[in-house]
Amino acid sequence: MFSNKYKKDNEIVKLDEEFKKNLVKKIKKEEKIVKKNRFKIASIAATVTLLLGGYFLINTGVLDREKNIVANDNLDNMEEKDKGQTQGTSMMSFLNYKGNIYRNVENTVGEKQLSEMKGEKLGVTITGFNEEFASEIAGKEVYTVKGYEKENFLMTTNINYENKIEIEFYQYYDEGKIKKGEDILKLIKVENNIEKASSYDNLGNLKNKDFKIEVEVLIKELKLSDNILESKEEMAEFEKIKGETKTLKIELKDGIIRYIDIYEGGYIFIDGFIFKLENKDIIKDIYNKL
Amino acid sequence: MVFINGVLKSIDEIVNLYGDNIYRLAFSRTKSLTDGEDIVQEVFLKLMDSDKNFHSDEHLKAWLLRVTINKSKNLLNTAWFRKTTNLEDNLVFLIEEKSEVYKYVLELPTKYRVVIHLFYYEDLKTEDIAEILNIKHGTVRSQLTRARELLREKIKGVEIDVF
Repeated sequence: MFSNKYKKDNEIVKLDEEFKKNLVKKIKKEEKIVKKNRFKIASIAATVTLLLGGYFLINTGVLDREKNIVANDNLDNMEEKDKGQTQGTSMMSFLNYKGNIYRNVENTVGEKQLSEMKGEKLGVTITGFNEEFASEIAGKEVYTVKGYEKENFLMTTNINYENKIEIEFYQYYDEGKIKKGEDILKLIKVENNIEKASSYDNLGNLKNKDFKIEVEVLIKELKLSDNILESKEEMAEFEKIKGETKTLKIELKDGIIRYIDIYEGGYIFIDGFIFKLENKDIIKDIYNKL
Repeated sequence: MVFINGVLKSIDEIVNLYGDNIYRLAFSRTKSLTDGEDIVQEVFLKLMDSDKNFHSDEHLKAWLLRVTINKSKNLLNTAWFRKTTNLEDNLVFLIEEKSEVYKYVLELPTKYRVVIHLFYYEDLKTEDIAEILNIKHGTVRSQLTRARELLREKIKGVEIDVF
């Protein structure tokens, strides 16, 4: 089997023991330096804060309670933000709202659409993971989105380093409530809302053709289909007969982009949920067209 | 300092546990022993500098793999790396001489080598690979399919397991 042979071959690629020892030494040394520097910075910051705080209290008597931005390092977000990297390279863009983790959704919403979609302001993001409004970047304003439920869909706006407004959308699913295709369709608002649909073939190549009609047919079938994630038997069957996949990129009239994966064997994959379609002929026909 | 579920983990232990995994992933991208070592060093320095608390060993490993990808991506993008990639090092020659299938993997384009490595060496699911590489799940699957096709053309007589 290839996997066993590949694993065995990888044993050739091994770190030298001496290198490991030196690396540990170097890290321990660096750690000491960092600790010393942090102590120095913390001492200076504390002194400055005390002086400034005293000045403001004496002169204005006002404490700004809204600026509650926590500057600690993000504990759980596995993203690595190196200098010079753009936001688009982040591993997992997320937003914590009422204890639920919302995931970032692609969009092409411009400033004009923004004013139509922006609802009630809910708060401002802080860095972290478990806290309310935690996100990978602090300082983004969090809003509800008109036409969507805040329990499932939120948006943030942020002024970036080029002084431009960045608009992001975040989706959350209560997994227990997604039983059928229509449950997810209600949340992602794809029905009667498609601007354009394009497709990626099973090698990941984008086809520049509009598949709007095919998607509408697919949606009718998807509505009636069951989410099979909870069924071990169904998932075992899925693993056996799923076949190849093609991806539909669906651009909605409001600028939000949704992706739907179609399995040759008659399944649909949306944001982690797998739906089994009853009419295999229809899905096979659509799959072949994409 | 690194914590797993609030418990302090020593750097010696982490380097011994995951050093080779990081090195192997870095090598699969860069095809260079020295660049691989540099990336390992950068990844661990980043880890120690970050004061992170991980939920589990798997969470720590996924973070390390992700940072390795980013560090090697940065290296691959440098002009210096592009100028020196023709100079293959001893490890590549060793793999060409001693390995049964790895030498064929090394002939694949970078993106295919990485998905093959994460899938067949790290035993990650395609969903997890998508998270680590920050690409769509469908893209991982199509890259894996294409990589397998290319490998089948190169390797005769070895069954490429699909799972």
